[in-house]
Amino acid sequence: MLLASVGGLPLASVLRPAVAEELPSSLMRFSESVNLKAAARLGEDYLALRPNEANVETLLQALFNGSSSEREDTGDLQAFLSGKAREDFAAGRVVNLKDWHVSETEARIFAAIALTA
Amino acid sequence: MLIDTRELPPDSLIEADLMIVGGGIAGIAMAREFGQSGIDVCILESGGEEPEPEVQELYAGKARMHGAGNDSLDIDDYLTSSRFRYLGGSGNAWGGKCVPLDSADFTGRDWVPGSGWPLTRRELQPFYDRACDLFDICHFPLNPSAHWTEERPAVHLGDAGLQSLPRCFTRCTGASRDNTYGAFKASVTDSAHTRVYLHANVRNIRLRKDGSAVESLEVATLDGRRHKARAHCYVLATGGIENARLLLASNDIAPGGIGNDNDLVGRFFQGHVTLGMFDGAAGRNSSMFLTQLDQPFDLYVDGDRSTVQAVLGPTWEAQKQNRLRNCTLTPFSTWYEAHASSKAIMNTSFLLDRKQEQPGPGAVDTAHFAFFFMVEQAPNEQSRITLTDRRDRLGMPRVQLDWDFHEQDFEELDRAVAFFRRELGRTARGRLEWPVLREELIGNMSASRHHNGSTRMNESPKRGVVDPDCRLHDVSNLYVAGSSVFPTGGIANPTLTLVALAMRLSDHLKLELRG
Repeated sequence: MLLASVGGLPLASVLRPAVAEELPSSLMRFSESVNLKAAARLGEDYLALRPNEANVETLLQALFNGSSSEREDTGDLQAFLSGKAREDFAAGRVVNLKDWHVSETEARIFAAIALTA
Repeated sequence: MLIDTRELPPDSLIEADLMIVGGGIAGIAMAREFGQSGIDVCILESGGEEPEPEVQELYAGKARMHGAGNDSLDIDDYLTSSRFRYLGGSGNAWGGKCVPLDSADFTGRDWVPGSGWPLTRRELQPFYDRACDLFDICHFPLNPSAHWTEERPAVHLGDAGLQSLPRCFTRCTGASRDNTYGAFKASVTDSAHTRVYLHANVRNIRLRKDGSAVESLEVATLDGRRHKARAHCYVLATGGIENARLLLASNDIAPGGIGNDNDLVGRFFQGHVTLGMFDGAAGRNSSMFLTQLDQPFDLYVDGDRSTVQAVLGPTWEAQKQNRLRNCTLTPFSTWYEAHASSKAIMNTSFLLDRKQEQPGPGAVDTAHFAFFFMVEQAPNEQSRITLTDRRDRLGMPRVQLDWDFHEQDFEELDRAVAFFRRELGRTARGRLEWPVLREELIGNMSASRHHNGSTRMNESPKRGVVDPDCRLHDVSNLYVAGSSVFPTGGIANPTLTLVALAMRLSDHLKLELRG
């Protein structure tokens, strides 16, 4: 069962322990704004490249720097993930998904959707 | 004044102060400069006023594109499809895009072997201005971000190492609607001060016995008549391939061809290719989307040639910092609906990257464009024009073009893709879709009609065929006009630059001929 949209609230107030079958609330806005099938296919492409990340918790750890306390401290979610994506591009952490060159951050969001869609 | 060479009595002597071989855009632009100077100018043009198949066939030869890790591609048709052998030359079909070389293109860059011109953009600027006046377009100032209109200001891309660069179009081309190219040609054919000989094929340049100067030109018509042309000074303006061919073929005194003591004539051929893939909704496409634009980018890719269009390129600082060759990304409107996965990526990126503050008026969230890349080809001595054993109807050896791409050219394309991807992504300005694999590059290149470098300019005869005045190093009265003198081709369409150089050469020759 999917949770309601987070609506820009601070991360700490909306995170809860991830359940493997459900998309984390922190990523909910992405699933509401994209074609889920298309996003899931992109995610599957990513997981084919990185099968070791085929786990929602693993993806969350990678997205939120591996620490549950950092998840709570990251403040505004959009700004945090945007910053991560920009760092990915600056550092060359880029993945080719269906010929699009996207950040690892974006690819992991798609992967999370693929695992829970 | 127009004269049909076929109607001259056999063995006629054509004399002038200045003999221009080639009645294309460079030759006509030069002749116009002499106006009422009192200097007697002749143009010798191979073709007539309209295209004729038997004349165009003189261009035929062999051509091949080679690239490391790619299959070679035979492009024989390129020799006859990329140039036009009648009065007005390739200007009859030119797309009209005008852009100067950047200041960076004139600069020696240690990461681009063979780069560096013996003059600067600043030195050429007055001639660019005159060329722009001829083409009835606005001047391009030294600072590229200054050339825009109020309706179409420069597009700013935050602190990305990218800049938007203007492109303008002239109507002084035979391919333009409501074109002024006819008037351009008539400015010499109707002039009492210039004689234009049609159907006058120069098949050999005769040097004096000591090789130090041109003595005369052998002129031939297709019906077998022979004439002689003699002048104080001669200018080859037959185009970037034909200039080299004529020099190589004129080997009575210099066995390797005129100006070729250091085996440079014909070498360092550089062209521009566009690289992209356009399969539409069902297939693989080179495309991009831009986000957080402060004004609509659609204006700059709408194909309205009456106003400024735009491409994206690295700033000079970014080129230096990243040791990048000059490159551009030319966006244009997509003609297909984006695939679902493309939309998913665009939407996700938009969600990540959208500005928190209220966007200003005219701001655009996301705009999706197709695009092609162009990356500067570095001078490569193996990329060259030579002569074959086969001869044309005039008895001249036909040309062989081996257009070679070095492995490094493909590396540089990869680096250019990575650069644009990084800059757009790290500044939250967009994303690239780039499907072309390295081994697909030659097969997906579309060659433009830019023929640069085959009689390159350098102060030293050991590194160039012509000197900074475009004069052959060891032949005192022979000059070359056109893009064959470019040491490097940058990323600009060559016509504006070759016309600027032609005007500069005209000023030089006025002094020479008056002195």
